[in-house]
Order: sequence, then C-alpha cells, then structure tokens
Amino acid sequence: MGPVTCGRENPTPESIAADWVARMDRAALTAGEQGELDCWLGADIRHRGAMIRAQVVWQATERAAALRPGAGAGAPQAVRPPESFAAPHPLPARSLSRRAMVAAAAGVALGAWPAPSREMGRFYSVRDAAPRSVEIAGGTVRLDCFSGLLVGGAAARLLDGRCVLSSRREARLDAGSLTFRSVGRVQVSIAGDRTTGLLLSGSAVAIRQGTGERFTLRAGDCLTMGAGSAPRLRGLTADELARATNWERGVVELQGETLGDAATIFNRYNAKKLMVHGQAGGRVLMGSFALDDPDTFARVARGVLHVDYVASARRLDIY
Amino acid sequence: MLPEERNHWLATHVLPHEGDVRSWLRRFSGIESDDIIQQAWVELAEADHTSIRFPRAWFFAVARNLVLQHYRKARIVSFDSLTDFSGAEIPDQGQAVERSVTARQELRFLDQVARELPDRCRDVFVLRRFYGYSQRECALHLNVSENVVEKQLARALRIIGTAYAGRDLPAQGGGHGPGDLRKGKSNP
Repeated sequence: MGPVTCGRENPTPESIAADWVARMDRAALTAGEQGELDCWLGADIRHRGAMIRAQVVWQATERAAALRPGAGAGAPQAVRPPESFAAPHPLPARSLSRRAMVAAAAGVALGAWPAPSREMGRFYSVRDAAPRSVEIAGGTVRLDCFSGLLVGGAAARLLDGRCVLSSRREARLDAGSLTFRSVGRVQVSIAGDRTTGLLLSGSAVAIRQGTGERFTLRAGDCLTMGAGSAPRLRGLTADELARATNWERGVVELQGETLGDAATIFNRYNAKKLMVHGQAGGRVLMGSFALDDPDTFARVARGVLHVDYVASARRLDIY
Repeated sequence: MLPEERNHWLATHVLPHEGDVRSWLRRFSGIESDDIIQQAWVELAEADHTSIRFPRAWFFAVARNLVLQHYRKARIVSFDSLTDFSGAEIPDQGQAVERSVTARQELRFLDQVARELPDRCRDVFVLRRFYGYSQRECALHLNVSENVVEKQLARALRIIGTAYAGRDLPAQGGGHGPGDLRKGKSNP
C-alpha cells in the first residue's frame, strides 16, 4: 500500500507527495501503488502541483553531492563521512567502541572529518561512473557502476550490482546467499534476489550459506541462485563470456542495439549524458566503442548514420 | 524535455524564488498561498522552458495570474482584495532586476538546511544525497530497515521543502526586468 493511505492524520498534499517521492526513490512502484498514486494525482490539481514541487525539491538536493568532503565545494558543516555514522551491517551498533564514537563526534565538533575506523568497515559505492578497483584481503575487486561493496577486515560483501574479484591466492567474497572462494578471476553480480557467479579464469567454489552446499566452478561456468528457485550451473559460450565482461574491459559492444539503447549504456558510466531525440533513437549502429568516451560515439553516429549532435559540457544531444 | 531535465531546470532556476513568491502572495486577502503555489507548479512544469529567459519574473507572473483567476471565479471578493490586487506590482519590476542564485549560494543553503535536520534524518539524508548511497545501502550502513530509511528521507524532504518555502533571497543587481519573460512572447 502506498504512502497516501499511510501515516499521519490529515496529511497535507506536500506531506503525501514527499512520502511518494521517497517511496519512488526506494524502488519502482508496483502496479497497485502506481494506480493509487494516479488516483491521488487526478483527484485535485493541487496534488499534482505538490507532487511536482516535491520532485523538484528532491532534484535540488542532488547537488548536495558537491558538499561531500573532497568534492571541491569548500568546507561543509553538515557532512560526516559514512564511516562516522553507525556500524555498518552486519556489525551491530554495540560493536562500536567508545573511542571510535568519541573520535567521530570530535571530528564533527571541530569541523574536521575523522579518519575511517578499521573496526567499522568501509563501504564503497560507484554510481554513474567508470568502474573502480578496491583492495580487499587477498585480492582486488573491480566494482561496476551502480554497485556497492562492504569491506571489513578479511570479509567483503557485494551488496548490489556487479564486480570482478581478482586474486593470486584464495580470496573470499560474499554475495546474497553465496560465498565465493576463488583464485583467479570471478565475476559476481546481484540483481534483485538473484546472485550470479561467473568464473573467468582460475578456480572457484561457491558455498551456499546456511546449507553449506558447495558448487565447484570451472572457467566459463556461470552459477545462478535465486530465492525460491533451484541453483543453475551452466557453461557460457565465448561470445556470451565476451559480452558479459565488456564492462570490465571498458567496451560497449553494439550488435543491433538502437542509439537509444546505446545511450542508456553510456549514461550508466559517464557523467556526460547522451540524449537521443526523435527518430534518431531508433537508428541502429554496430561496433565496439570505448565505454568512457561518449563523444567519440556521437561523432561516429554522425559519420555513419548522418544524425547530428550538439555537445555541451554535461551532455550530448543527438538528433 | 524529459521529466528529469525539467526538474533540474526548475530546481535550478525556479525553486530558489519560491520563498519570495510566497512572501509576495501574503499581501492578498482571501487566498490560500499554498493553493496558488501548488497550481503554479503545474503551470511551471508544463511550460516550454527553453523559451523562458527570466524564470523569477515568470514565476511571479504565473502566481499573479492565478490570483487574478481566483478573484474572477470567487463569488464574493472584498473591496480590499481588489484594491490589493490592482496595486500589487510584481517585485523587482521597477528595479529591472532578475535575481539569480549562484551554485555557491545554493550549496550553502543546502548545507545549512541539512545541518538543522534531526540526527537520524540527517544521517540518512547525507548518505543518500551527499554520498549517493541507495536506500538499501543506507539501511545496511545504518543498521536500520529500509522502511526507516524511506520514512526519514520523506521527513527530510518535507523539512527541506519547508525551508525553500520560507527562503528569502538577497537582492542582486544587474539583471533584467520581468517585462520580457519569454522570447518573442508576451507575458503570461
């Protein structure tokens, strides 16, 4: 049930709209929730206005990212680094030492940011940017865009998205209900309640948490585990392997995708966004392109498809 | 214009002036300024932004027209209201000023508002908006449920929305008057 029917007595339209915006930020609305929202929006023009305003206020807060320490916007006072909040999952809050809490509090009071505490673990997140490498015990994790990784001591857990774990000795990575122990390179991803492991080279074993069930992977094997469904292990073809790992090699490979589809891929990895307008969105371009170079892609599209584009600092509009 | 682009434009060029528009609306009797503002946002969102040169003046003009519509529709309008309206100049018109908000002003405002959020609310908001964590990641990091994160974000949004509504921008010089709101178009 959506926010309209929840909570306070006699909520204002602004209040209800804020609830909806927060709800939509969490995940896509269900069909029922969408119907409930549409019904509320259609009931009064002021509801529509309140909703638009709430979305605009939400958008306005996006620029707050510039206040993050190191983002170059001076010395903000509201921002504490994530390490200084509370104990990250799965550590219970009580595991915080008094020293760590005092250090965090003092850092805020003095306007200086406390150094991350080892006992708290570290959280790594990549949004719409190029993949990023994170050192963990025994290896390196290459984190794809829109992915999150929690690293604490000898343990590392993929929370969302996709990564490749590379190691010369045995390294461990938890994801969903699986623990991967590997030497070599293994790609691990989480999408909804589904966890997938793909061994690219070396050897790996995936252990199902709770039951201890073990799955031995050979190079090219792909293990998929979903909630409520039987685990599935299969070998990928060379083409499938190449496509599954394009992101790590920094490549966009187009084999029949439209410019609109290609723009969606590029936009996941770049702050400079491709915007494809009108009929250009349906045109098809084939080839391999550098993931971090949307300008070259736009130039090739113009040369091959005779579409036009306008480049500005933050976007490329293709017509 | 895509909704996200539209919202970005409105957030950058229009929202910072809402506090001033609300202040201006208080002079009119017999109207609910919240109602006028909400209806104004619908019109603001549906317009073609590429043709709007002076967003602040445009916002005032939209609100002014809505007040006028309200008075026209009202069965009973006090003489004072009509007097108020006929004498109500759009602010800055005489000064030929189009106030703009710099990115630094905007960041300072957001920093100030975020500092004043309740503790848990601020923690969630900072993780989500300053650091770009998803709600799920916020929940894991703070060791709370995703429902708590969602509720605290909604709470932050309400508080920040209220702050924008009460914001009073300092005047700046060197701008343009609202007499030329849209390229090649008359005032709405």
